Amino acid sequence: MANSPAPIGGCGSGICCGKGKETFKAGVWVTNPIAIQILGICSALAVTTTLMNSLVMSIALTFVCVGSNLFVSLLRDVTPRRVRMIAEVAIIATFVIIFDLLLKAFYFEMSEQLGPYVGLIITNCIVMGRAEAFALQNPPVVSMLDGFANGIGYTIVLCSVGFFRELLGAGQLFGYTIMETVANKGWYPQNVVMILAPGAFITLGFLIALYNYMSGANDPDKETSP
Amino acid sequence: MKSNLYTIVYAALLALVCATALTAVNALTKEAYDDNLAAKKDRNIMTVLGISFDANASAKEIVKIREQKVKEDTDRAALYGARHVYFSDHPEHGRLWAITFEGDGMWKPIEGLLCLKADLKTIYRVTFYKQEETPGLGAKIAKAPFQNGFRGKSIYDSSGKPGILIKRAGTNHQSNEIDAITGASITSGKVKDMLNKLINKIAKAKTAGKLPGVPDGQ
Repeated sequence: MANSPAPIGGCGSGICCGKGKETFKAGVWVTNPIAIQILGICSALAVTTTLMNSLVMSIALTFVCVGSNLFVSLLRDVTPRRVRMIAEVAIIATFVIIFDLLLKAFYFEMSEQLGPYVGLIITNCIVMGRAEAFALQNPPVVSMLDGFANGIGYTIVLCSVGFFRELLGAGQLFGYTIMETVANKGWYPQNVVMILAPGAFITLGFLIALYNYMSGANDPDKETSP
Repeated sequence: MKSNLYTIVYAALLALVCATALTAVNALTKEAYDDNLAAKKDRNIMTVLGISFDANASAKEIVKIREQKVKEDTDRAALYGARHVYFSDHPEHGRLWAITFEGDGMWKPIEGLLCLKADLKTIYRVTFYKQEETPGLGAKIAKAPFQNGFRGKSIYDSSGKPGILIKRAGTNHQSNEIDAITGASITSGKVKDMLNKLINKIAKAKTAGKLPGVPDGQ
């Protein structure tokens, strides 16, 4: 939560002075919530057994992040400082439960598969982190954008993990068979480790390494690593 | 620093707004959710009894089809200590019995249906309609590969003792042994226990004699 993006000077309200672009870039890439801040990886490990689960979970988190950031930002001047975190949790929980109810009514099968994990978004550090680090100091529109950008950043990582886990663990993508497993008389020896929790850690480790390589985080000439 | 009164009023208002929003969404989605739950149950009952139906039918249609095709036997349910016993006549296998069972899972309770053929010995199908096991692991009990392993198995071992076993996949299986799920031994074990609880009751009822209100030869 300490990693708030670069301080942004006061320039009225809304997306102005390139603030929008900067915020978006920060959320998606520069301070990617999972790859850089290592926030919210509990769910990244738990639900990424299939790509579809990862995608729906990402949509849920993005929805919650945008909604909670908007309301935390709208209420930022009237919220008493000492109860701000409780207020944030109440707002976040409201959005999470709304999403859960919608899922149960309109995408029942997925709600069955995700089980308790949608509800657990309430405790996801990314949502709380963005509310604390960004929405409390910034106007509503740019706060929504920040929530959206972080949601996209989360989506990219979560879907990448889900992609590799489902492909290597079950030989499938979105439930469609890509590589026929030996159990189904195919050629692919299913890698059960990828379905289990260690598979998520390993995949995430490789992804973060790749991310750091691409962004040059360990380049001794650059002082960009957070 | 804002005053205590302000804080209390703020908290009360925020709670009121959040609660109102949730109540509204809940009221709007409740009907669809309840329909989904009922349809899910009926879909499972019909699948386990081998009744074909349109997979794309709406939740309400599914409930209607089930009510037409499946009947319930409350006497037998009481005897087996099960919540429900459903039956329907299959064109090929004769009368099939679907008996509900439940028990603790790894995280939350598991509920399912055991469908036996007319001899009340051979498993026709098994399904789990309520489970919140670990996604990708224990949750596989809700999928076809695991459930298909039950088909045609006997609820008695070769010496006539009631009970099934869930064993590691690939090992040599007796007529009452079923493939376990790799990486989900706790779920597999719990499923075995809850099924055996019901199987013991079925076996006991069978040795005790004919059921009241049930025709001969069932």
